[in-house]
Amino acid sequence: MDVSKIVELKKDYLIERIDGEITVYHPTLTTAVYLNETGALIWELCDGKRTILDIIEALSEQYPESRTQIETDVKTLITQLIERDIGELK
Amino acid sequence: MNLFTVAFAGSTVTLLYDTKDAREFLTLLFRDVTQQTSGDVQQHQLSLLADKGLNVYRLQAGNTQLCRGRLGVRFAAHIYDTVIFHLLNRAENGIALHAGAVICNDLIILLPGQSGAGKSTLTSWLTCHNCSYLTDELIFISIHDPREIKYFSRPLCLKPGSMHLFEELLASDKKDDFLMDLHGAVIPHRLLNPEFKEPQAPPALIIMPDYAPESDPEIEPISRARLGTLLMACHVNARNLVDHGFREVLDIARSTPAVRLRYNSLQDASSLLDAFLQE
Repeated sequence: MDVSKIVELKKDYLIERIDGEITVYHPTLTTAVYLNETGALIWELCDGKRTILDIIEALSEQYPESRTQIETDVKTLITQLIERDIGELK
Repeated sequence: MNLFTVAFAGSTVTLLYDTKDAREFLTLLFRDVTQQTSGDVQQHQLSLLADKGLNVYRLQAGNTQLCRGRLGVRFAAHIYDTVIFHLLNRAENGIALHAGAVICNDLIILLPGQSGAGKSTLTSWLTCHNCSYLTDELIFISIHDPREIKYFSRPLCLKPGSMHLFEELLASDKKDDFLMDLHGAVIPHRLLNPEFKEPQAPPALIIMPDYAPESDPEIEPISRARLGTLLMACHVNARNLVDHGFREVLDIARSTPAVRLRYNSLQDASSLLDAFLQE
C-alpha cells in the first residue's frame, strides 16, 4: 500500500457512534461497516487531507509502543474501506 | 374464483384460487398470520390456479407464471417468498427484519439472519426446547414505536435436516394438520401454540446465528455498534425508508443485548444454547 496516498471517504454515508465504536452505512451502496474502537480512531483521521502515513504517525504519537500494530491496523482498515467502496486512495 | 387475503405490515396480498385443495393449502400456509390492516393499505393480487386434469398448480401475477408445481413444501416456499415480497415491497411504516423469534421463560428472543445463517434451524431447536414459537422468517417493528412488533406467524418451515426435532409430532395422527414431503415440513403455528397470543413486550435478547462450518463453536457478546451493522444486513424494506431506516435500526441495537452464536453443527449449537439459556 502506498502510504503517501490520501484516503478519501465517499460522501453521503451515515454514521452512528456507540460506546467508542462506529457503525457506518452508505445508502446508495447499501453497505454497512462496523469499526471497533481502533477502527473508529482511524476513521476520524480519514479527513481527506491526511495521508495514510500521517494517520499512522498521528496514532503512533499517542501510542508509541504499538507502532507496528497501528501500521497493520491502519492498512487493514483502509483496505476494507476500499473493498467496500466506501473509501478510495487519491 | 375465490379469494384468500393475507394482511401484514400495512399491506395485503389477495390470492385468487379455484379449487378446494388450493383453499386448504392457503389456509394451512396463512391462517395464523397476523391480520394487520390498519392505516393505508397497499394491495397486490396473485392467483393460484389448477392445471386441469393434473395435480399441478400455477402461481401467477396477472398472466405471468411465477412458479408451477404440486402443493408441497417447495411450492409453499415459493408462495411465501412471493407473498412476503409483495407485503413488504412498499411497506414504509416499520422495519422489516429477516428474523426468527421465540419466547423463552417469558422473554422474547430474536434470531435475525440472512439466508443460510441458521435462523430457521435455531428457531426450530428452541421451539422444541420449551420455547414458544413466534416466527421463523420475519418481524415488523413499528417505526413510530419500536416496542410494537408484529411477528409473521406463519407455520414453522422445517428443512429435512431439522425434521428429527419434531419426530414425535410428525409421526403422530395429526398428519392432516401439517404438510410434509421430501423437501421438509410445514407445521402450523396453532399446532405449536394452541393458545397463542401475540406478545407486547420488547425483545429481551438478540441471538445472531452464524453458521460457520470451519470454525469452533462459541457464544460471545457483541457490541451495539456491531449489532447495528449486522442488523442492517437483515433489514428487508430498507429502500422504502428515510436513510434506509438506519437510525431506527441502530436504536434497536442500542436497546437490546445481543450475542453471536457461531456453530458448525446443530449438535454444537444445542449444547451452547442449553448452557447459555440456563444461565
